[in-house]
Amino acid sequence: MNQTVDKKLDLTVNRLPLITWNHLHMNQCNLSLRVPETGAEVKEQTWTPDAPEGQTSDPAVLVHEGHMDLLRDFSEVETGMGADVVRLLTAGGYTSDVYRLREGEGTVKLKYALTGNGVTANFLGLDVKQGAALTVIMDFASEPAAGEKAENSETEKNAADTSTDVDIIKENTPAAAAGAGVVLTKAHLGKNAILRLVQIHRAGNDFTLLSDTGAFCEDGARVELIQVVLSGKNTLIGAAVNLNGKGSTFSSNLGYRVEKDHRLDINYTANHFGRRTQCDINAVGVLRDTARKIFRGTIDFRNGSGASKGNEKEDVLLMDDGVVNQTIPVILCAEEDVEGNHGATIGELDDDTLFYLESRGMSEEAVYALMERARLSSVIRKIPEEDTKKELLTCIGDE
Amino acid sequence: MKEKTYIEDVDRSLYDFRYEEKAEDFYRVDEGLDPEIVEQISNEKNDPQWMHDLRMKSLEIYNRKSIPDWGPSIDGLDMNRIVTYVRSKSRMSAKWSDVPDDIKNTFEKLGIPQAERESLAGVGAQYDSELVYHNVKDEVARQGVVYTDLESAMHGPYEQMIRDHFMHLVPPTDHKFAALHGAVWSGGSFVYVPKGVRVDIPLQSYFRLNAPGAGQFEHTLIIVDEGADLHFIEGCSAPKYNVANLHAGCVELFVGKNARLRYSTIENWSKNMYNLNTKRAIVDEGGRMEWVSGSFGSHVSYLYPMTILNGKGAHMEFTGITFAGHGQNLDTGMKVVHGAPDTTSVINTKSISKSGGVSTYRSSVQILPQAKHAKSTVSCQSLMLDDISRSDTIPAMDVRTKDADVGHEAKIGRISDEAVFYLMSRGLSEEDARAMIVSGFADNVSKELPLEYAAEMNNLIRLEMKGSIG
Repeated sequence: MNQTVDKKLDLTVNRLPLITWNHLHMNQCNLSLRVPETGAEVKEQTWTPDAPEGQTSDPAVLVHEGHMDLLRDFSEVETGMGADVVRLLTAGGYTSDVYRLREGEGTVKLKYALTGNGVTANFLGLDVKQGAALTVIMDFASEPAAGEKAENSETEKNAADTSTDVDIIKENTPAAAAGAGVVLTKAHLGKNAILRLVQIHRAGNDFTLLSDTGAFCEDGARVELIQVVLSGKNTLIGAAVNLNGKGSTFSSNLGYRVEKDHRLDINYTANHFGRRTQCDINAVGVLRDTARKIFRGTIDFRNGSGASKGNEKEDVLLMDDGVVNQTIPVILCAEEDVEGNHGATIGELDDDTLFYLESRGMSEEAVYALMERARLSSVIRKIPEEDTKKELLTCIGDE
Repeated sequence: MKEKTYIEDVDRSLYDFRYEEKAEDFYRVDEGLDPEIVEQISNEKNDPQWMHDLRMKSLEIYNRKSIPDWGPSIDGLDMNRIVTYVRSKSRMSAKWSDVPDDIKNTFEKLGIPQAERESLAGVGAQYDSELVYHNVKDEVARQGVVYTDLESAMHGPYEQMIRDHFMHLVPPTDHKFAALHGAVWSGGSFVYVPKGVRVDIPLQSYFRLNAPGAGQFEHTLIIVDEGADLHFIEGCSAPKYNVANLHAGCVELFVGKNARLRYSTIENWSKNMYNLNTKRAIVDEGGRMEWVSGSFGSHVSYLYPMTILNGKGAHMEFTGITFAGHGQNLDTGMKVVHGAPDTTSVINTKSISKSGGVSTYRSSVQILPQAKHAKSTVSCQSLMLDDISRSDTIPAMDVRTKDADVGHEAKIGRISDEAVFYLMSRGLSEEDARAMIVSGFADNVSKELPLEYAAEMNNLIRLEMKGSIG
């Protein structure tokens, strides 16, 4: 038996770059995980343009490579969760995939099956060379056990409401797997390269998912990150983008729905090193039942990042009294000639909107369901890949 | 080509004068902190037993608690070098003529007696560890308003009231420097405003720390009873020395049902000061707490006035400005806890960083499950005047009911070229335009102060603008 199977590590992840009062319990997330034995099953792995595995020479195509050394490859890329994720992966086993796009446009679609009761770990490296544009869709989903019917798979209708547009649709969130999955994604973007990274999180009711991402941008490079969270007992998301190159940009759109007793823990960091860099971090979401969510978002203007701009906004709709919402938008500034803005709106639906929609015949619950769909839909519609977009819109009942 | 706008540091010459204290005129304990020193202070102050016990318990807590790991470094503060109690050998008086000349001249230079004559209902003046002057106007006293030093009050008819409130809002267990305060506190004021009484003109306490290497640990306890109204002003300053000084005061404010308290502070400690102050208010149903806070001095500051909105419909407003210049690391902000339905809070802060100064805005807004229909809006703005300074913003929000409405916005940046251009197009010179923008930036605090104090604050800021964009 593998000696690492029962070995546990205490981890500190998603730590704020500058901490605040400890009694608020917002500085970081502490957890204990068994070291991973292997990687999660990558159920589907497709990419275009195609290239033979292991090919490293020209022609300029997307190249898929095998195992990478986490301590060596992409070591210049910091991630949102911090160094403990690499410590966890290197203490156990993990599988890895690396895609290098030398020029032109490419698309990679990866479906991860979050199954079993163990701990699995995957590392994804993305190397987007100068001027290339890569789209990556990562879909993390738990699967129902064989023969088990997915719960909440049918459309629920609010009995108190007779209007036609009040269906509350919940996607499949089976409770088959009670394990944990760790997915570490690191990207290096060359000059004027573009990475469009879509991550869909829909782990099961007993599953813990750590989704950690980092990117390093050279001059003029652009990272567009879209993340959707639809379910998962514990979903932890970290994302850090180092805007090292002049004129590099980072935009992020996060949409989430957290319900039941689920927990979502988020840490975004945009590090502005280069001049005229820009970040836009937007998050919208809803909390239901007794869900808990913490959103940490940091814009860090380092010395030398003159003429840079950073914007950050979170809009949270609280739908039940048992929810706990924590938000901490941080701006760190060591440069004079910059503009940083952050805003947050947290709470119930404003009275005017509610009154108007109720006057149109909708119940309060139906109005809130509509608002939930609208928030998620506003992020899903930004996904650049049509099939994924359609599937998710259907999943939330918006198509 | 852009030329840097030059903005002067806060002019502290008014505050930096000092008199050399003659050893024979002052009583002081030894440097450091141990049970003997705390006993000595307790004996010196003729503490009742409960206060003596609180001091000793606080010392134990102080020794157990660790230094905060989240704020600016206070490595330069060596408690073994701090004298925790220094007092003039003359006793407190209600007449300026009875105050020793050197001390009286200090307060004359600071303009306190003049302010008392012109615009205050009462004044308390503390020099090092003890009050040297305390007086309240007869017509205010006749309304039943009590404004006196805590030590006297503790031995009079208000002993039980003080015992029921002293360090109940800020317990010694709160943090290490609250425990330190509990052990060695000295001086400060006690104010009681009876039910329904409105004090139309403000009371003021002024704290002057003159002794090098000393600490000041004054305690301010204010109880504003149901339906009453008070404006209290706190001022503080010290001359600059090459050794560290420490201020670990404590302010506890109790605002009764439908009462209102405005607490204004202009803090201008010298740049060798570690200002580790704790201020907290609790507000009953329909009560209103207003903080106006200007932080200009200190080497290192930890200052976050906290409000607990404990009664239905209670309200809090916080208006603050922080100016961090060379050698300063000012970590300021506020905390509010919404603990009852229909409570509201409005927070508006500004900060300016220049010449290598570090300004950090740190806050927390907590909405508890029972605080249905609570509303909070936060606005914080920071101005960076060069690229060797720092300005950080760390606002935390914790909301635990769906029936809440929390809005937050923050901006950080430089003086807008567009605004300068607009003002210049209206006929102002560039220097005047920039001066107007920076003065306007600080205006939210100055307009909340009585005229005399707004003038003092403007004097403190005294921003001189130079340079132009070619």
